[in-house]
Formats: sequence, structure tokens, C-alpha cells
Amino acid sequence: MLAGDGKPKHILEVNGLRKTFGGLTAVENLDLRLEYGELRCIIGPNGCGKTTLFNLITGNLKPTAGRVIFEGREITAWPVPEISRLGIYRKFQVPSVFEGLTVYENMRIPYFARMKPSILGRSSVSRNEHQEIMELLERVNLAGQAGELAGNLAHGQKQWLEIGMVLASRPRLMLLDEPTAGMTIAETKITADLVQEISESSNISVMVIEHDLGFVKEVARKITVMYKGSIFREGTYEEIQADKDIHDIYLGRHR
Amino acid sequence: MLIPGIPRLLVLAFFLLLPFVGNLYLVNQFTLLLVYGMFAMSLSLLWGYVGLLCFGHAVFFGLGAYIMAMVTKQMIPGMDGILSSSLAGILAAVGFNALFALILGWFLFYGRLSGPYLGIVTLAISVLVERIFINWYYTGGYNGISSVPALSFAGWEFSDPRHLYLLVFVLSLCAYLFLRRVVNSPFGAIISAIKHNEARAESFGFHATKYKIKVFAIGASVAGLAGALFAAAAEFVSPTELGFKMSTEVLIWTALGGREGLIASFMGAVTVKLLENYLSEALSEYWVLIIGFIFLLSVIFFPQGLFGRLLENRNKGWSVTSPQRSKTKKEGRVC
Repeated sequence: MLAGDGKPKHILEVNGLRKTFGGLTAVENLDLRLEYGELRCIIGPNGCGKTTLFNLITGNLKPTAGRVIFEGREITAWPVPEISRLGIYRKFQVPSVFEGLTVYENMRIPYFARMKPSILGRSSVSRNEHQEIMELLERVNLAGQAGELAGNLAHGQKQWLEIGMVLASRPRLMLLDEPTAGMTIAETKITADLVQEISESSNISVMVIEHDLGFVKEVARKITVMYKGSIFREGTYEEIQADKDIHDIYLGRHR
Repeated sequence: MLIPGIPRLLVLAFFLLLPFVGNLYLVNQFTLLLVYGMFAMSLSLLWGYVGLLCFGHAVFFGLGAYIMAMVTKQMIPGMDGILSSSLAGILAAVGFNALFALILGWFLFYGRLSGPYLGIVTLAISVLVERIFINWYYTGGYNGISSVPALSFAGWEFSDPRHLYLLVFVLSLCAYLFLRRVVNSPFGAIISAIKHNEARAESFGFHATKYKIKVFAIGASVAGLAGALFAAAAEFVSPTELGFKMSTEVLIWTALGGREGLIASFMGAVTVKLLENYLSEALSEYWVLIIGFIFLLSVIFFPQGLFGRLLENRNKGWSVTSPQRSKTKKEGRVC
């Protein structure tokens, strides 16, 4: 699926994806297309396969069937680090930071991924990179906590730190799995603004799994609703809001 | 709080001055303590810095010692003349261990072994290798190899215990500086990230397995160097050096000293071995009980080890990258 200039039209294409765990089908015949620069929210009741979808894209899980295509290149079942290095970075559902390292040390890790990590060199980043880290920390409201152990941060701050680390990785596609879980309303708002700002100020494509409908309403132009491992609906917030079937699946009344 | 560098300087000064004030018995004793300390540091790299609980680390120590003994006693066919010198022995010990650890690590870590499983498998390897050497007639079986030649480099023989001590001291210092460099390098930062959260590190593009194999090989090489020096300093090597007992002992030294610190682990080895030397004289077999008791107490009351806090300053060298950085450190961290 190439556009006129030979560049693929979609940054991410998922075709006929299927994943079974023993007798349980977590993802079934799933098709998804994400455009360059798009900000997409994925919603759906618990257990509908949202996180499994992310795991299949990032290589943490190997699909039973189907294909994942990133920027025109098939990456199905590639090893996790190889997929990351193409520019797909994710924030895990459970905030995953390096708890024994300080906030600043956490932020440095993605920079080491880009250099040849010498065994005998000094573990420092360049002045520019240091500047960049401090700016990123500013953006995720953690500039004052640079020297704090990441394990001592509040739940919401860990989420921000992880988003900061993902940004430091210079992603082409960012996958955020429940970025506002455990956040206050005010923090959720800040996060929503941050995600929107990221999407608007850069050409990073973003996919967000989120339960908080306030967040979804604020950020998403297009929403994908998943149900029982497949795509149930796609549309704008208003369309989704008006769809009676979606209300039903959330309440467990559908079919 | 103490000024961070002082306790470490005291350790350095003590070991540097020892041969000039101590008697020959003490110097001989401390030569071996340095070797054990070096061995403990190599385990600290694997266990403390990467979280690889290697229960058979003595395999590398013992293999290093056997290789050194066999090379310098010209027991390896085709290796004579310059190829049977001390230097050749050391290089062979280090090189073979690195290679062996790379191959072993490939199987262990691509086999996705971690935590207790890694411990059990490495323990089994240690027992296995010990059995092989006990039953191998060529290497002296249970008695091992004795009369290993003293160290000599370019015709200069280290037969004076004080010279030998100073040489081993310098090599231990080099091993320490090398290991410290490794843990403070970007490579070290990445292995520390892998230790803290492997899945997260992989998602930033690091092949955790490859890093583990590399660090395993580094730890094994340093253990091999320690083993080689042991063979030359003790002038013998036996299957005890690569078996189950030695593997357990080094774990205790490292845990007791403080596995997350190189010098702390080093001091753990020195302390336990010193206690062993004196307590086993006074209490014969019962000293093991005392050590066991101290070990239990330290696990409960000093999870960082007896020397972990005193000798290690994780902030230092670890993370200071720029002036602004050290400033935020001071403000942000409660010690």
C-alpha cells in the first residue's frame, strides 16, 4: 500500500492479526491502519485484547497468525530490541522505570541505546544531550526530581518519567498503555495536554490505550473500539459516544 | 557522614603498606587474601551489578588455576619455551575463561535461565567440573597439581614473598580499576538497567541476553586471572578450587561484604578468610557455625553487606555527568 512517492501511506499496518493462548483467543482477525502523525485512542472493556495488541506490535508476543507492517516493512515477530530500534517505543501498562536508578539516570538510558556502548568509556552524555534531558524532564514535570530515585516517585510521576524516556528515545511511533492510570484529575489533564502537544509539535505517531474517557475526549480525533479481540468500531468521539452498541459492550449487554 | 573516598583510601593504604611492616607469614597469607578478594570482585560484577546469581563461579577460578598450573608445568603438549611462561599461563587462563564463559553464557542466557534456575544450573556445572577433575588422572585427580612454579616475568622470578605480594597487589588494583571502569561505563549503565528491569531495557533496544553474556565473560576472565595467581602463589591447585564448596564460599564473601560494591566484596573475602584462619585454629570446625551466624545476621541487618555503606558511594562516578548534575544530586538525594 504505497502512496505516490513510494512512501507507505500508513506508518503502521496490522493485517489479520490473531493470537491465541491455549484455548483462549485474545486477538482475532484484527486489522488496523495508523496514518503518519496520527493520534489514535484505543478503548474497550477489560480483557478485550488491547494490551495484547501492543505486545504483538512490539514483539513481546509472537502472533499466531497475521502480519505487522511498520513503514512498509514487515516486522512480525521480530525480537523486541530490533523493533524498538526502528522507532517503536512504548510505555507499559504498569509503569516500568528503572527503580534503583535516579530519574536522571533513567533518562540517560535511551541515549546509550544510540551510541556504541563502550565498555571502558565514561558513562556520560554530551552537553547537548544533557540539555535535552533537562528539557524533557521539564516537559514531564520532573525537573525538580532529577536526582531522586525513580522508585521513590509517585505512581503518576513514574508514568511521566516513562513517557519522558520514550520521548528521549526519539520515537517514530509511540505506544502508550494507560498513561493516566493512577493519576488525579489534574494530572490526567496535564498528561492529556502533554500527549496532544507531542502529537502536534512533532511527527510522532501515537497510539494510546486509555480507559479515562475524559482523556480520550480531549486528545483523540479518531477512536478505535476493541471488543473480544477484534475491532468493534472506529470513529470520532462523538460517533463513539452516540453508538448504543458500545454502551452495551461496556455494560456487558452486547449479544 | 564520612567523606566518601576516605575508607577506600584506608583500604588501599593498608594493603600497600602491609609488606613493609608485616612478617613473612602475614605477607604470604595476605597474598592469597588479595587473590580471593579479586575473585569476590568478579562475582560482585555478575551478582551485584547485573543480578546474575552464579552459583558455580568457582569453576572459572579453578579452571584459571588449573590452566596456569598446566601451562607453567608444561603439561600441555606443544606448549613449551615462551609458551610455558607465567605470562602465557595467565593469558591462557584469562582467554580460555572468556571463551568458555561466552559459550556457556550463550547456552545459559539464550536458554532464558534466570534467578534460581540460573543458580541451580551453574551449581550443577560446578559439581560436574569438580567431578571431572577429581577423576582426571592426568591432572592429579583428587590431589590436584602441586609444585606449580612461582611467577616469573622475563627472567625475573617473584620468589621473594614481598615481591610476589606487591605484584598480586598491583594486579588486584588493576582488576579493581578495570571492573570499576566497566560498571561506570555506558555498558555498565545498560547492564544496571537490565538488572533493574529487563523488559524495559529490551524495549529501549538493548539485547539483554547479549549484554549478560558479555558481562558473564568479563566476570569469568577476572575470576580466571585470580585463579591463575592463586595457583602460582599457593603453588598448588586441587579440585576443591573449582567445586561446590568454593562456589558457595565466594557467594558468602560477596554477600557478607556487600555484593553491590567491588571493594565491599573484596573486603568481604578478606574478612571471612582472615576469620577463618584465626577462628579455625581456635575453634577447629566450629568456626563454620560462627561464620554462618554472622552471615545470617548480616543478611537480616545489613542487606547491603557489612561494608556496602562504608566503602561504596554509588553516586560517585556512577552518574555525575556535568556540574548541574552533581548539584541536583546533592539536593535530591537523602542518604
